[in-house]
Amino acid sequence: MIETQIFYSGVSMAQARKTKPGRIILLLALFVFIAPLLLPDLAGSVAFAAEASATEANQAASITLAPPLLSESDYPRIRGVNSRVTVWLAAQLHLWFAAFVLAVPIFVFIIEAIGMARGDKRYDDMAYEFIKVSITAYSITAILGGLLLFSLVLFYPQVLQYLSGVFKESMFYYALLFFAESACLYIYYYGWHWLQGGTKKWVHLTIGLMLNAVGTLLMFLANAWVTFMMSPAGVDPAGVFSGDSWAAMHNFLWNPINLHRVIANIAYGGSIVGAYAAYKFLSSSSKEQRAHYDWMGYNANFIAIAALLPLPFAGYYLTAEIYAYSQQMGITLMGGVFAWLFIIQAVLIGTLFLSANYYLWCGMGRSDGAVRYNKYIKYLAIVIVGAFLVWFTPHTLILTNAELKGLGGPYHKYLGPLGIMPAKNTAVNIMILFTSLSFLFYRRANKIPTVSWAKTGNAIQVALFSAGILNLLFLGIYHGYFTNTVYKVAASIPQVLTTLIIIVVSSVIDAMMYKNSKEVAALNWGRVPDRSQYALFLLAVSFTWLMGLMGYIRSGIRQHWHVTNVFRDNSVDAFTPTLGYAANVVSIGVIIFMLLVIFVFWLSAVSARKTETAGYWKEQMR
Amino acid sequence: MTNYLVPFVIAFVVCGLIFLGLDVGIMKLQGLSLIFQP
Repeated sequence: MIETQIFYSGVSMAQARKTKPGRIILLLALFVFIAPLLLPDLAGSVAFAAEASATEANQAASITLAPPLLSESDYPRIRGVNSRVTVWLAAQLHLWFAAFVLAVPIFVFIIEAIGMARGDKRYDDMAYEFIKVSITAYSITAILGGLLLFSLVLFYPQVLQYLSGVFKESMFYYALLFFAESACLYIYYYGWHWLQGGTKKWVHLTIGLMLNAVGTLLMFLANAWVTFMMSPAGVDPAGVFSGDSWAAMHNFLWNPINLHRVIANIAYGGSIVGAYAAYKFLSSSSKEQRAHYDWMGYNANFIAIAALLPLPFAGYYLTAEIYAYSQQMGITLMGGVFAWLFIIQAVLIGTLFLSANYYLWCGMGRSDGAVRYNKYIKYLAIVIVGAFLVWFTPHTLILTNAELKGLGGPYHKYLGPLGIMPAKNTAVNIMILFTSLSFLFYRRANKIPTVSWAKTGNAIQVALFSAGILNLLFLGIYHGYFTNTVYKVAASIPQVLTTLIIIVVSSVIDAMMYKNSKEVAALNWGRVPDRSQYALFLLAVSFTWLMGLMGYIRSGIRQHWHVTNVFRDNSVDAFTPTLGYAANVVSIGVIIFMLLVIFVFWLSAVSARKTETAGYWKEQMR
Repeated sequence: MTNYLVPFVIAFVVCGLIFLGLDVGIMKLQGLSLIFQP
């Protein structure tokens, strides 16, 4: 591989791969992480043993905690400061950075493991560069967490008091885990060059695994507090806490949010480091550096796409669970006041797909063999744009009388039917399939299969996609327009499975077909237009904006409740702001976040700079 | 052409049947039939 020759000479990791003690350490750490998930009883008895004992103590003392009935005067105010917007921005900025610093170690761990398995030092160096970026971001995350906590203490003391009463154990362990995460992160980062080779490398990888385990656990704890506010559990209808902390944590929406956030964080982290690679690519002057950051950007984009593909399904699962918990909440979410933000969400998700695809198409320029596939790109683009248009077609429009008359009714004659969920489900599944097809073409661009059954394999793949798309259309059109709501919702599950089957099976066929394939020519890393890098920036900005808007909606569907139906918000801000106002606040948050991210990128560039100081320092006698 | 067409037709029929089976199975698991019954 030419890129290997350009950057680094290969370093044999055979010794590392054969080291048994290291593997044992990793397996033990893996077991400690996974065992509580596999064994529910163990999870209940070990991971939350302390909470259970605390619960018993509470029950024995008959201590109950009821939400207070507040008035406006119970909410301290500072002149010229909007309490809600302050907490909103602090929480949102904290979450953006937290998502980033939780996600980066996940794929750094994976990249490091790939580097070890392949004995390719380039992966190890790339993983190190990724984690280097997250170190500064980690400090900012902690600072913003402190800002959020102080804001809550200052502006919403009673709310914090109630929540900390319910979650006192988990908040205490959260603080302790934060120490553990910091320790793991700093050993992982500062020990990177020290813990190299043989058993040491396995120890380093194990620390990486522990870092991820602790980070994920931290997020799960914080998710429990957030979801308790949406779907409280462990409390009676009056909000009086029973003392069962585990019940409060294990509330209805906890796991759907956990799943959604883990996947979304990985996609988000990929997009931010992709933006970092793009920044470095555009500011690099040497060919070697551009090649390196192009390779880094490609890997970051791959991570972002890999997590982006299943993300809509996790989103549907979360939404379905919100509806299952409370139909009223679900309708407020998607059919009521927040519905129009979902149109913006659809536009942003479409932008994510378009920019990710566009980056892949530009990236095909690295290969001399891509010319064979260029003719298909326009068809991919037409289908993806078409699906994108269906995806964000609105259903119920807010119209003036003149507009209503001009439209001939509340719904457009031809476009109206595209506004309902079955059409959007079909569109998003097709968009995901064609994105995977873009990636398939990208992977094939520089390869020539050597297996005798290559033509048969191609025919099978075409058949798989054709039959699958027909199935998606059948489910979407027949169940969407000729049945009732129960069937419409039910049909979305085989649609999702169809898409997943096509992606998995076609990837397996492709991997078998291109095993031992020949390369057309060496890949020309760095031979991409600058505009491809702007697609990476677009990906990062769209993700950030999307998370901000969706985060507002998730929190906003509680409406005038601090904790849904049990703890009423009686502050002057106990109303749902207009969509324009909310979008402005989120946009200001995005700008602040992006400025901070640019600061982080700039710092990483500064740390590599050196200034000649000849004549400045006195010569010391030795 | 035959190299493509024959495997395509066979694979298309097989995939179609698999997807149909998937649809029937998943709808049945949800207590519904594939064809709408009001």
